[in-house]
Amino acid sequence: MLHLLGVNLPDQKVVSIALTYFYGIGPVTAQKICSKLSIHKQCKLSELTEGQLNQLSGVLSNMTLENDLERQVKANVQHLRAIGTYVGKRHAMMLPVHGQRTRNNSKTAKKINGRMLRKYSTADTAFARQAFGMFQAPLSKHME
Amino acid sequence: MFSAARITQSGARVVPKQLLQVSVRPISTTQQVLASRKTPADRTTSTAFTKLSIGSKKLRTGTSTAVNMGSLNPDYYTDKPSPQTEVLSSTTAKEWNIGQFLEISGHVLQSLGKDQFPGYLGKDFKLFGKPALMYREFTQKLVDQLAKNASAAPKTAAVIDGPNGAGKSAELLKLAAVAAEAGHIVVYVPATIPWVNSSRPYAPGADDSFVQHETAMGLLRSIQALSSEALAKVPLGKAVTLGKKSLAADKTLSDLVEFGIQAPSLAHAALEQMLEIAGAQKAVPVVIALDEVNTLWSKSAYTDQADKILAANRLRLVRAFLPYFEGTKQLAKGWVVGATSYIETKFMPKQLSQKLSPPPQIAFKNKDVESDPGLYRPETKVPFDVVKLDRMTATEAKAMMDFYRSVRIVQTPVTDALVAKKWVLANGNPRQIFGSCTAFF
Repeated sequence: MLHLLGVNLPDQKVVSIALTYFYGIGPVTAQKICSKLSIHKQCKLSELTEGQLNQLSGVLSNMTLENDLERQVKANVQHLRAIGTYVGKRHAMMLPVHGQRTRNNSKTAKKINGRMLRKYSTADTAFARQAFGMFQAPLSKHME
Repeated sequence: MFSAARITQSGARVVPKQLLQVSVRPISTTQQVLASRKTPADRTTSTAFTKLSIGSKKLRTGTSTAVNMGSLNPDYYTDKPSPQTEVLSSTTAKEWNIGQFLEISGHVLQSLGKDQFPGYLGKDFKLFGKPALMYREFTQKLVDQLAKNASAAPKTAAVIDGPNGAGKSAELLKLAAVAAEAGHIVVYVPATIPWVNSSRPYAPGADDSFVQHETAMGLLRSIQALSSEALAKVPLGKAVTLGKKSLAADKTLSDLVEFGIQAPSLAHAALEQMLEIAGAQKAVPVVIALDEVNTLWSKSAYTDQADKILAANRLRLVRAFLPYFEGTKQLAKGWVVGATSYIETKFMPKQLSQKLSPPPQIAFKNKDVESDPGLYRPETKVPFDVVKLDRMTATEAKAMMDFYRSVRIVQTPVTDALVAKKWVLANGNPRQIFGSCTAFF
């Protein structure tokens, strides 16, 4: 296992796949990084030289990844909430943000949205709603 | 406890002996407890079935020919017979051997390295038990042309083209083997797809090109292994400077190649210098034989630093050989031959395949239409000679099946009717004939 910038990367994986283990890097960004450093598509992490690893570390350290990115996303959502936008309110109500229907489905949004606004960590979202009264919608809607 | 006791006549209470034998359980120590426990079942391996080992027999049908004869039951399978075959060389590459299977020599195999045979030949050789190929009429034509070109090289290269399984790679391998045995300098590449499919390391180089040091070094190694004696006969003729080191004029091409092998970062320069010096001299003929030659004109799977796909001609290794096929560079003595491959169509550009097999073009009777500038006619001119390899003759098919019978690939007697049936159904394609013989393996 190669430990790079706080993330354990599996040695036997192809570089462009291994880079996706970073939060903030997907397949497209990984491929762009490999092209920039002239790493061939079938190159495995264990085949990289020390110089190439240093170059890779240099490129990755200039990007916003992992905790920095999480903090940035959280700050963006909190800002939206703070200035009272519609999107901010939807995050706060743990409802879909991008105009999806709520009559059915929206299970994922109810489970995941708004976690960036919470100052505690718990899985009991129903309790959170009632206890902190963060929502603008009538309470009857949330009474189940 | 004493319910089983008896009262005797005297009134005494008698308890049977077994009741008096009270078993006193001793205080058990930890060791005794551990020993008494049953060993836990090994749940990491299943006892319901026996897992097959990696080297077990694999069955494949159709035209693929992979059969692993590693772990066969000796009660049912006997040792493979090994018929006597001559080694393919300039002395055995003659007309009287047409239809015979000739073995590729050991030192040619050594230069190819392990499992580096082109196309499906590696699997075929495993099945035959030896690296033997049939000497065909087409092979004789190639050998005759090679002998002519040994005195004066033609101005254009030749490219062997044909459908999948026609035997293009096999013919190129035989030609390289004959040339190597005849003492030519042979640059034989069994597969050029690895040059362009992004499987080897690469790096940006000078002149907007990209270098592949390890691949170039591997190529130099195979040239050294195949033609070491021929390379040692050719002096450099001029002082050659590579990097910080220079080689004197009295050194030979063998020293130049060896230098390139020892210094991977200078392998490209060493290869280019070697091709230039070998191509200009007339002492020893040079044969450049590239399989999958269509990759030289294709797009590679590599990307530049802006993540744009690279054309194959951006690779320095491809640039070293492309001029020979485009007619801009020529050999003083020798031959440049290529063979196409349709296995990976990604590396067969559409324009090239149209040029290799041009559609029939009828001349227009109406001159106005013919002279219309908007009229599109596919480009059919190619800078090299296209040599078509189509189907094998029925006689060759019979000879091939006789050999298959001798190595027990075909179990039934080989009759003319059987050969005719196989030949007609396969349309004379050697790969399809082989596939039909091994369909039930």
